Amino acid sequence: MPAFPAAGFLLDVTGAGAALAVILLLGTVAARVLRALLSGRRARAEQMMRPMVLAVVSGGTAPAALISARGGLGRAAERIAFAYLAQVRGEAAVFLADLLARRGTMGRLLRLTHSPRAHRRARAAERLGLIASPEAEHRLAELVTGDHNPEVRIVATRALGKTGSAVAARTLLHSLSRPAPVPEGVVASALLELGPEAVPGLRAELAGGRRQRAMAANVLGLLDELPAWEGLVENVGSGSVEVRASAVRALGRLGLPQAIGPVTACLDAGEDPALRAAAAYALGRIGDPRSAQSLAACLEDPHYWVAHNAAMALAEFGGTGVSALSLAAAGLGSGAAHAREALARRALARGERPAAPARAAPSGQGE
Amino acid sequence: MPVAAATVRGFAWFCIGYFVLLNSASLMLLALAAGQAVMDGGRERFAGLPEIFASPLAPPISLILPVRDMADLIAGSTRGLLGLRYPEFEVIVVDDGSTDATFARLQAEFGLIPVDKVIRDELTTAGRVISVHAPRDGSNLLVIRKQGPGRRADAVNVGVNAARHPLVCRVDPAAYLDADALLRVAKPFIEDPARVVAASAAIRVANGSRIQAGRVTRPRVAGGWLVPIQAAEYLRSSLLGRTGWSRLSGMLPIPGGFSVYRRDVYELVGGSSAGGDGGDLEMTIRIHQRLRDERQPYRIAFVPEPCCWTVVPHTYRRLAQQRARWSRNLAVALWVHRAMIFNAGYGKAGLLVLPCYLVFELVSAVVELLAVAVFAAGLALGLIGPGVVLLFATAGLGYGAFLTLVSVIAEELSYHRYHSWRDFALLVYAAVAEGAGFRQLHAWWRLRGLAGAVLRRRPAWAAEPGAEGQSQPVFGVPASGRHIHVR
Repeated sequence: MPAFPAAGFLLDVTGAGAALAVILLLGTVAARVLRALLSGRRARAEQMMRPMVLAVVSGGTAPAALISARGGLGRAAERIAFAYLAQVRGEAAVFLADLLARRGTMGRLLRLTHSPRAHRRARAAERLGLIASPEAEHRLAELVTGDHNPEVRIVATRALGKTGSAVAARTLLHSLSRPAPVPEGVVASALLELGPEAVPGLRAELAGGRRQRAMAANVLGLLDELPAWEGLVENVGSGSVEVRASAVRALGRLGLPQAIGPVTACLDAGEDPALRAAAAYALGRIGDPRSAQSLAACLEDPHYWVAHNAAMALAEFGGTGVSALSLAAAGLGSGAAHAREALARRALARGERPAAPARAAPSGQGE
Repeated sequence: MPVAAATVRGFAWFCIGYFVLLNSASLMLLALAAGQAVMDGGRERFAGLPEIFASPLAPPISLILPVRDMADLIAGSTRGLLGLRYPEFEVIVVDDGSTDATFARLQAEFGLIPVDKVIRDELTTAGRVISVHAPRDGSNLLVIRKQGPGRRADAVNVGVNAARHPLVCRVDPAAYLDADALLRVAKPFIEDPARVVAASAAIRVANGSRIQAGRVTRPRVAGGWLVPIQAAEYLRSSLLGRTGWSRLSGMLPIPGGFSVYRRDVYELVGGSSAGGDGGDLEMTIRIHQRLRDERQPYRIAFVPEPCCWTVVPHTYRRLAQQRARWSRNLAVALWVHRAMIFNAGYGKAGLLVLPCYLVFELVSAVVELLAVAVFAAGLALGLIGPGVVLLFATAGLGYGAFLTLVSVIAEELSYHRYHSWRDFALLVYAAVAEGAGFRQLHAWWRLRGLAGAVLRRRPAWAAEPGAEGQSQPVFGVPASGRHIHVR
């Protein structure tokens, strides 16, 4: 049995813990006081610099005091300039970028991207994306593919998306095939932000690897890139379910009647239910009544999402689709229930009162 | 007598060692989390929320609000959810057999009319769906009335069965979400859609805060004894504890107050109630188990930025019920998934997280109460000296208070949600006061929960905190949207 510690030791341990707690508390109190002081000072500096920056945004000459401001005033001016830069386009953005160039902000940000602290590199990357100069773009591309911190790579990817250049699009697409790539969703968002500049690269990716093809199809659809439809149709015909479903959804977003044939073929009962559900959704987006018959045949499908999407698609067609739904709604079974739901949603969307529910309880295990 | 003395002394040393180990493990997690929290404070500026709000890639979300007898609060809570900033979402309120005017209030507030709706039978539910209603104006609200009362999990499962969107979000009726809460919690799904299967965010205590139009507009800490201690507890466990576990890729549990799941994964594991009554924790463990078994790459994300505020119980009775329920759920969850504990096949979840929950969460209530009894008896009978009692108080209570204090300080240095000096002082007071009675009471409530699990008692629907015994609403948002304060 070990002996109990001496009272002195106990006092030492308790005292050390209490002292540490008191030191931490005092430090926190000091941090609160400091924060309040700095916050007041920052507000005053912003109040002073804001009219000068606003004058630049509206095309006025930048006063010397704004160009040469350093310390707290300089930081306030840059905070305001970047806040506006994130919101404005065209000439106003050019004026602000020019102001920042004259202040030497670009050089400072480029140096900050080499900081050992990740959050500083990320903040610099974000601001470089707003400035969108060739040097900024070059450095952002290096960060996207070379920074060891995933958070910095993500911020740099997003920033690169704001630069609006075709080179940026190539870098972003290339980054997907590197080890430890930036998550695909972030790259897709950046490519969407790039807009038309991203299209050539995306169209080339339609012949790439599985994940790249799915992402490219998705983004091309969201970009309304009509000339890509043939490449998308090729992807509908072969590949994994994920790729085919992405291509089908993209064709739906493009809304081209030429796509009806290949998309309708995906409704075939032998296809994967996820693909069939995507096809039904896409046909609703295309909105061509020629597919009404194929969709009506899916209303009784045992897979919920196939039947549900088919009913919702028919509701998009107007007269032909509503007739098909009304006919189905008069029957029994799950097809009738899906049809009634679609008719009810259509009525609500048009500000009309839907028909009273056919029965008290919808389907489900609880019944 | 010498044998009794030796036993008492041996147990005393065991208790001291146990609490040193428990608190040191917590300190390690806190250290991991504190660094993350302070770093996140700096990252907030480049979180990219405006981009997410504008992005067509943001996956649509179905928010599910299970309610029962919440007539005074339901309209405000629902309106708060409908006002969230997110590109596309729907709100599904599942009324689980309310006996008051809950549905009538919803009907009057939103102009509900009965509609046809096919509800899938993917997840098992107990109560029959009576009717489905939607607003006349076609807005993104759906109200489902079902027979009840069942378990809350049933109501959630009905909501998931009715959900249209690929992500489902469970929201507690006693929770208030910040306007951009969905943007924050959806971010991991957008960034890493292939791997992220669930996400949740840090939860803070809403009691005492100023609330307007369903939003916490001025966070405050309510006075008294119980609420400040819970506010400090939430800082410690909800923010830092979860952030710490998340950094170790061992996130448990996903809090039910505000959590988002991929609908297909939610359905794959059988929904909320498939594994018995283990609550959110059991479901989280089930996700780990199923996806590990199927060798699927997955990640459960945690957003440390606080964006959900919950009303905590302000009476002993409700708090006792809540804590007993949590303890019972923990026991059930660990029992159901006992095969995972110390099982290397389940990675960190099996080798680290679940054993920690077993040894430091479940067993600690028993050890703590036994320790109080043995130390008191030992001191009274002269079997142990005051020095040992002081050592125990330092290792158990003092060390614990120190951990809570570190959490309060980490909050101050990172998110700084509580601006007033009064709130800071209350949280510091709570860190110290927790050990003077609350912890022991808490251990007793947890022990009762554990007994409930052993005796297989099933809990009923938990009444919402703050709603007990009062005819006037004390929280929630009146239709007028005027400012209110939460008790």
